[in-house]
Amino acid sequence: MTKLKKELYDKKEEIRDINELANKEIDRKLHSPIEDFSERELESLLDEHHSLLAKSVNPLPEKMVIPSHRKIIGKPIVWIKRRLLNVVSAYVTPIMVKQTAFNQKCVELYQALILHQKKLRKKINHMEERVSECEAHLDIISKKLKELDTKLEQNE
Amino acid sequence: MGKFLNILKNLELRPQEAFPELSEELKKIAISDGIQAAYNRLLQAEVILNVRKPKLAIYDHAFHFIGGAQKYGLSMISTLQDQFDITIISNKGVSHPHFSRWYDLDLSHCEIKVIELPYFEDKNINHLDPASISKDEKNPFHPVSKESGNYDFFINNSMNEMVYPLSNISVMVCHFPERRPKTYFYADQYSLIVYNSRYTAEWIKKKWDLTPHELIYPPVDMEPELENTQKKKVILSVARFEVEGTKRQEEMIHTFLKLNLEYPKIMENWTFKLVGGSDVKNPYLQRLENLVAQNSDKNIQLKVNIPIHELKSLYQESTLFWHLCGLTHRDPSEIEHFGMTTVEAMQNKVVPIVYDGGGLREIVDHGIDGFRVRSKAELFNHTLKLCQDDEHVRKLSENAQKKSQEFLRSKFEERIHRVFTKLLQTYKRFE
Repeated sequence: MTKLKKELYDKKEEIRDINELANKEIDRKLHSPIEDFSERELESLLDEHHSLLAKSVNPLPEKMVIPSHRKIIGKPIVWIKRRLLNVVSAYVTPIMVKQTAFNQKCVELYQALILHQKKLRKKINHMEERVSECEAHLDIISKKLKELDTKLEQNE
Repeated sequence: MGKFLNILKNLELRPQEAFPELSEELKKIAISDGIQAAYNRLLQAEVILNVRKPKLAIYDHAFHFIGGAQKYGLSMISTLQDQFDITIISNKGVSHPHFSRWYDLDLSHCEIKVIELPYFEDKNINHLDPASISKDEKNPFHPVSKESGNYDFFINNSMNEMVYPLSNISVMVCHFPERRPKTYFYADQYSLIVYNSRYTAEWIKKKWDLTPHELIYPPVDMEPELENTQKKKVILSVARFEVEGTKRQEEMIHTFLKLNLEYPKIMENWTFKLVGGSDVKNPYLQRLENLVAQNSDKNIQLKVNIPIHELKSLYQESTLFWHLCGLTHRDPSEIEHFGMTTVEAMQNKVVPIVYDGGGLREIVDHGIDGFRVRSKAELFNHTLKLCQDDEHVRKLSENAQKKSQEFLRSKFEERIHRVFTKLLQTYKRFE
């Protein structure tokens, strides 16, 4: 039995892929509904999405490089591709520039909304604190009033 | 399954003839269900045939830090040392003396195995945070998943759902579902989910859409060495000084100051002592120190990182216990999932006035063995009443001590034994 166990163990150790060991695809696409998120979760989601959006403002590649892979016909192919790219770019670039400007505005707006919401949250926190303090004061005042009432009754 | 059981029976009676049958059957399993499944079947066969003790491994990616969750897991295996051959799996170097010093547990019969994770080692990261892994990265915890397949039982004690269990029986101890099911989520692949409070169970259902199986409250052992110690006019708070201030010490200090301001005569002999652990650099603690210094005539004391014997004597001398963790929370994880220090106080007849939420609702029965409050104003009012009514305090403290008995270490061990004996019986019956 020990020998059999060692054989199986050695075979098992050779396997690197957990899916193979589990004998199934272990990763699934999972989704959590945003409506259930807590305030803190929503805040980190907003920040996460903001940085993702900011990264993809400009859809244009920095510089298009067309490499050559073939010895003899490579050069003419590259030449044709470059010509084609120039022609297409003339039509596409103005649209892309507009799109980039629009994206930029969206990201700025999104950031402004996040900041606005954070400032509002801060104000609400402050107000909640003040309300709670006022409640405590009210409690104390009403208690003291009762004490005074009792004293007055006793004096009368 | 029946066929395999027959082979095992034959193995006991006529091993020479039955062994080739076993070998053949395992090959078939390896082809249909994979090598791991065949290996698992063989492990189970060994336990059924009493060839060896069942092997159990417990994993926590934070075993190299001192913490309540880690104490829970290690207390669990300390009660199982007779039934299992136990291995403690850590991702960073730890030793038996560490555990003995931190938790006063003798785990000398357990082996310690360190599985370093290249992802964190390469970045020289000491605090392994599963939440930091994005969906574009490979799951760095797979070496642990792979290791889990070498044991009969595997317990995942970390708040880390990224470890896929490959053992025959797998147990996830959920201290709180921190993250939502996103990338690399395998909590639903475990045979059993143990949880530490009903509050945690509620959030497991809400966040993971899973129904956990066994409620086992953490063990609390802060019973006083001497009964009926003289109580002093002390309000105690025991909570870590979190940098984010989630334990709400600042709010409690303000409440104490207000009590002093409004009712100086009633409060004149009362002291507020705030105890807790903290790292060296802690701006929140700094703020509290400044606040206390500005009110140096108001009997407020901060006690940071004090030794256990000092904490014990503070519990014994205190009359009231304050705990406001959860007040103005923005996330359910910011509320106490259980509330061990509240139980510790109750074991010492200290009357708790705590935040009305989370696991604290399971500990304190409002008006019977303490009070639950939802605001500083309520904390103020209940404290003021108790500071003037010794008889009420005495009654509540008696009840508090009675209630705290539900969370004794002996109860915890009883529950652990019951759960694992049942699992082992099922395992041996080949179900």
